[in-house]
Amino acid sequence: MTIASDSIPAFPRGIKCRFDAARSVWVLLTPERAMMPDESAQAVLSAIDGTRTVSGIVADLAVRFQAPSEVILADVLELLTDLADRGIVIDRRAVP
Amino acid sequence: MSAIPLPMALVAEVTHRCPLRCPYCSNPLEMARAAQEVSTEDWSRVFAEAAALGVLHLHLSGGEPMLRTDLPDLIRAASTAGLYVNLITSGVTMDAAKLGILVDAGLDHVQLSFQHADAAEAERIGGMKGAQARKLDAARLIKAAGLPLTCNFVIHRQNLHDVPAMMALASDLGAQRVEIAHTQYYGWGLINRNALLPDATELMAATAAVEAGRVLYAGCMAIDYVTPDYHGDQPKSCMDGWARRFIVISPTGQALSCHAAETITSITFPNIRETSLADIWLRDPAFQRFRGTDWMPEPCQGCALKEQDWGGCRCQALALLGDAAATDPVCARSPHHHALQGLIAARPSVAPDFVYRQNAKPTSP
Repeated sequence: MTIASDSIPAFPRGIKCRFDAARSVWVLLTPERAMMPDESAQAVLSAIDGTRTVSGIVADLAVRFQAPSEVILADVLELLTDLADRGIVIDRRAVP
Repeated sequence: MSAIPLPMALVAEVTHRCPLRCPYCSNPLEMARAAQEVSTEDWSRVFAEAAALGVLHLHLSGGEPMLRTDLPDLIRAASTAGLYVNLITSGVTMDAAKLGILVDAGLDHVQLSFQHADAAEAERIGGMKGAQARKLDAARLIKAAGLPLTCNFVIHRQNLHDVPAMMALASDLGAQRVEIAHTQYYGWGLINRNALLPDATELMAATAAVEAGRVLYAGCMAIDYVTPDYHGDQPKSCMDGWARRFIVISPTGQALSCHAAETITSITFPNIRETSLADIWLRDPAFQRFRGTDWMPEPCQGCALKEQDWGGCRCQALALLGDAAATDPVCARSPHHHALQGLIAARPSVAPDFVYRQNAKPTSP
């Protein structure tokens, strides 16, 4: 699945992403696995709420990390496309 | 002693009651009655304590968890606490209305158990007429609700020749994952061992079928394979180590390191009605007993693999050697390893009749 800048990333049923206070990390939960993404992935995943577009998320991250948004966009698209290929993220824009 | 790891998963056996009578059931021989079961309030408190302690996944198991009429409340409490909620069910009491309520309460995933791909054989093994059609309906309802589905098949000498049909059924039902798990020999499985235990030839054929399935279903369906007890030279990393990742809680509230831990009668396990989960995990002597590697005897203590298999299985050491602290006899370095080969060789050539689990009455006593 291709994720583009106007995609609206969301977690499908069966995938949970939340902050785990005991470990002080964001965790990504699938039926059989608990993944602990690195810090930059955490910043992206924690911004996914099923209503914001990729560009909206990238604009925020660009301010927060004081980095050029085109660089961040490329990283975010790569991460989200990989997760979408594994069924961990869906594009709500594409869902009727 | 190194730092105590945070628990990853809680297995809540919310009831022992079940309409099925599988002869390899992981429940103990003495089963709890409905009146002895932990209340909605206590389970809800424990789920909140678990999430705060670092637990990420909750597996609602049994018996048949759908026989708890408060299951929606339990799911809601767990989901509110932030836990990922997995329901492990036989599916025989499921209908669209019940499933809808569970989904609304926050259910994330369902693991649906099957006894066989063939209906007549499945119902003979599970001891319940009409079960297979209900399970197939349940699978369709789960998919229609948009939930991810895992199909579980427990395999043994009486059904392992049909592994290809099991994987095909799971694929037809739209499962994203299928678990093909060899029987474990505790409790009912130990009583029925001669009726269940495969020999090396049967085992190799089943393993080859799973490997072929992994190629056939690559990219569509994941296949998990749980290898059998007794065969092999290296013990399983049982529960990924004693009190290292998992907490199991029985229907009466006993907090355990694994499903079968109560067979180790020399250990007194704590109860969640009396002790907080944090106290149990961090401080209870039962949870410390075989945690890490300090407890290990030789040859385990000097073994390079001690942090891979964590000493294998304590219940197995007890069941086979009478000593829960002994080296797991599945390990080739155990002085008792040869006895297992004898045990497999001594298996009767024709499987004896099953001894079916005796269910407590499905309603309150």
